[in-house]
Amino acid sequence: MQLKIKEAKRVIDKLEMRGREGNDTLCYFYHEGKMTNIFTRIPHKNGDLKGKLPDFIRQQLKLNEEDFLNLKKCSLSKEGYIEILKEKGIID
Amino acid sequence: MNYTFLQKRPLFLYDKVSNSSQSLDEVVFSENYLENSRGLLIFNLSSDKIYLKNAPLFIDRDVDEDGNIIYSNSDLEIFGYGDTDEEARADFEKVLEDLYICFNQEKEKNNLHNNAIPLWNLLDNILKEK
Repeated sequence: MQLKIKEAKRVIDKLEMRGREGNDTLCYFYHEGKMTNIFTRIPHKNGDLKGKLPDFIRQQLKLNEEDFLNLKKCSLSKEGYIEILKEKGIID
Repeated sequence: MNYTFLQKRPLFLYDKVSNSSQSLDEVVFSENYLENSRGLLIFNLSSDKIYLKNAPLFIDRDVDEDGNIIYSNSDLEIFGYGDTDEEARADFEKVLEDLYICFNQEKEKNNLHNNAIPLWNLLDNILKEK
């Protein structure tokens, strides 16, 4: 699986993930105002992420490949993502 | 979430050290070991903000098809990467530091979601702020 940096940033923006102020290492997913155990990072490389890195990001977002592709392609919304997390019992 | 990482210490390393004049750090980070290994131990962090109170921390080391060296810990679900082992380790430690500090801040504000508590407990078990 390949992931462009701009695609990764778009996913993070779509999910409204937040970084710690003044630090861009990790972005965290908040649900109902509280920080969850879901986080990932904005890659600091330029260009495409290949190899295992896109899969690490996908796993951090707790998604299978199909759902991650849908998130990347914009056919899965933040609300849809939350539904998936609920179905998996990750959030209630 | 569990604490199995504490049991993942490759004991053969201790055997190797006991039969060698090298320290455990020297053995773990020796070139030959890294070339042949899928896992290694971290005893110290270079961070000026946090330190390992339960060392060592076991990390997996992979090299993917694009040559990225990836350091990861499956219990914490974090990874760091780079073109060299030094870069990957520094990146991993930066992520670990960010994770701990952010979780600690949110915990202080009582702003952790219930599903984040086990991860915070794990982080709190292995790390401490300086």
